Amino acid sequence: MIDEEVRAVVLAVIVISAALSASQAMTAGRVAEAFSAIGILGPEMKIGDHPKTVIVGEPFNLYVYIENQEGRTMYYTVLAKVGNNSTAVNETAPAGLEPFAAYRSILAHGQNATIPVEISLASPAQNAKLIFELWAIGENGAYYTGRWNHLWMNVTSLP
Amino acid sequence: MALAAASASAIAPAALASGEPGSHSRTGAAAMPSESAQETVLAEIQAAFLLLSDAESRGANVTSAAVDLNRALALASSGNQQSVSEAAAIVQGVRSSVPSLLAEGEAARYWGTVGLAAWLAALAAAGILVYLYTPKLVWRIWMRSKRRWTVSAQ
Repeated sequence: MIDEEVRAVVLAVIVISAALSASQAMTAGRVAEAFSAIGILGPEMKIGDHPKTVIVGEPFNLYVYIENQEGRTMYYTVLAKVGNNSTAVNETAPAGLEPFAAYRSILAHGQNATIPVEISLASPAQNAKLIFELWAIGENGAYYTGRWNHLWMNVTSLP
Repeated sequence: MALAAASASAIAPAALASGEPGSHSRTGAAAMPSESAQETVLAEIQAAFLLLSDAESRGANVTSAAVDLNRALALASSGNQQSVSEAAAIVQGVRSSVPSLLAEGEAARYWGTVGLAAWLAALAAAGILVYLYTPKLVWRIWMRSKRRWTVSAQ
């Protein structure tokens, strides 16, 4: 009787070990939740110190942070656009505006990049919407990832 | 930092292919490459990236090549002729490394499969050995540990 019990217990341990080993080997390197991220940092590379008011034609600095957690190497392009409070941008549709700058980066899975950008806005505006959209290159060309950031700012002319 | 989130949709704006690097990367006019040279290198970078993506999907480790390609991208966007030429050379190097990366990837995948199969075979063999010899072993150990016992019958 005890022979059968001993055999059953040890065999059960071995079967469970085999199943765990096989599942670990088959799922190794897979990403459970793939995503890309974009963030905008202020001139001091800090969150939330973005300029609220800028002067027409006067350059100001920002940093664009992008991160790849897609489980594969990605070629990102960040498009910078200027709109206003009627400019729509969301997860499915980018802003229907011509970009004034593009910033590119190729990142392997798990890598991130902080890109310094210098921007100057050409015309005065109240509540200008400075939009940064994250695009990626795929086999069928470029596509909008559905991720974006925007900053509100007033663009004033010199007195 | 605000992190945006969402799914994907399609369509490429012309600006993605234009090679316009933005005002921050512009340098003196004398050192500027022609627009077409810069665009050519950016197109080559994109083509090399697609090659790397394909190699990666077939098991190649392309991390180092991706870092090189990103450096080429920075050089191509930085604006002067010398940097664009350097970027073109890096892209060429990355393209020529793809076959060896693919070979390494396929070898790594093959040996990974062999290792897994060997591990599962070893576990199966262990199961058979356990089934055959464990009771004998357990009783031998039990006998050895109780050999000083005395048994009395009443």
